[in-house]
Amino acid sequence: MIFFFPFVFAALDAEGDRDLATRLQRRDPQALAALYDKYGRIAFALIVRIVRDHGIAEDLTQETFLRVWNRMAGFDAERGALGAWVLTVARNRAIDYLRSVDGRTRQNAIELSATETPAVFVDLEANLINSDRARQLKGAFEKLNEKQRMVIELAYFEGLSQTEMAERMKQPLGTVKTWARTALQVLRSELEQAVSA
Amino acid sequence: MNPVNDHNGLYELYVLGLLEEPERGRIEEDLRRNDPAARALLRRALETNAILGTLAPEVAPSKHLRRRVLSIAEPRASRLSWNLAWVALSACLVAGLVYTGVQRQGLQAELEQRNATLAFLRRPETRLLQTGTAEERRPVAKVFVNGARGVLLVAANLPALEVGRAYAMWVVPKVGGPRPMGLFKPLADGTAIHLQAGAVNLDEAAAVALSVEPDGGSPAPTTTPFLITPVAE
Repeated sequence: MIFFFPFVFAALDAEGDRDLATRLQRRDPQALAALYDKYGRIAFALIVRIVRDHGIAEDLTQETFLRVWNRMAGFDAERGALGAWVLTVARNRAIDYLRSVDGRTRQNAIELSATETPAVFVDLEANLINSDRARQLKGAFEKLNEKQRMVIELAYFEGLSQTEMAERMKQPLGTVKTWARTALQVLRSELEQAVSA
Repeated sequence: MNPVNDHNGLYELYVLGLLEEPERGRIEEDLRRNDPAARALLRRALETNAILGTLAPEVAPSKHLRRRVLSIAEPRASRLSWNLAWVALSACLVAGLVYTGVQRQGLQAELEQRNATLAFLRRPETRLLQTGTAEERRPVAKVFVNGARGVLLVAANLPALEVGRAYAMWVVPKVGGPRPMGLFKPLADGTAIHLQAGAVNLDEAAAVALSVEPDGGSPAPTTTPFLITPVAE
């Protein structure tokens, strides 16, 4: 799988997320427009990558922003990470869709909605979603071996649990767990080094 | 080694909703204890997972999508949809009065009253007041039946549907299975008006109900019916 990262983040610094979140909580329609202009393209691309259908992705993108709009009251405008929350909601909507289509039921994993509670997204790195971080991630991703990249793709873009990954890759569960854990540690380590450099 | 750090590398899977037992239980226990190290790992995992979203290839959405998203915040949408709903509702009542042959004098008075009601509802400053927050509001509906004309549903606070799903209206007879009365999808603000035209045997109908179905429809409800409205004798 070949990835490209060059999103255009030109508008990302045009308005601080803190101010944007405050306006969203005041139900300012212009704030929703600003939120969409800032994160809509990234959210849409992410959803397309997961569901592989532009029409469905547009429906899910609208659902994403509807959910964010309706849940802004629970978001901490002072300490919250708006971009991280929007992308998490977007991914969850897409993964939920995949699961509903192929009839995958949740067996051992937690419900996705529990992982997107707005109050959880506090004290994260400010301005997390930006072109520098995307470039760093791409660099880190390329350092992974093929198996490690595959487990990241299966986890993030297909929403497979480790057991499901093991079945898909026809590998022992322990092996898949090691690949997943190592890959995620490498990615995070690379990102942290880039921040501290 | 700090037990929390033993789970280092698993928090990303946890926040992706993919971690299985027993690891998931251990992490949840760490978080329940409000362990600072666990909180730090959770924050880092949220960051990593958010950035992973930028790995997706760039794709441009249509301009139409922006309009769709912005319609979520249109303050007039709710009022407009309710006005339309009440206009449709009142029109249906008027038609019902005509059909049932109310005497001319009484009908004239009723029509004048309905016209006044319509004029009131058509005023742009007329607003529907609702109690509670959006998340607290439960689905509500008014159902109008006319044995010769059909069933009209006016609903609000309907939860957003997953893609590929629609609301189905059913007439539940006193004997036998529910009869499908059409599919519909609510507006972004959760309101809906659905009219299923056609004769309905009200003598045999016990209730009108809704369920969530595939948007191609189902011969019978596949999810638990809700907003069940009895058809009074």
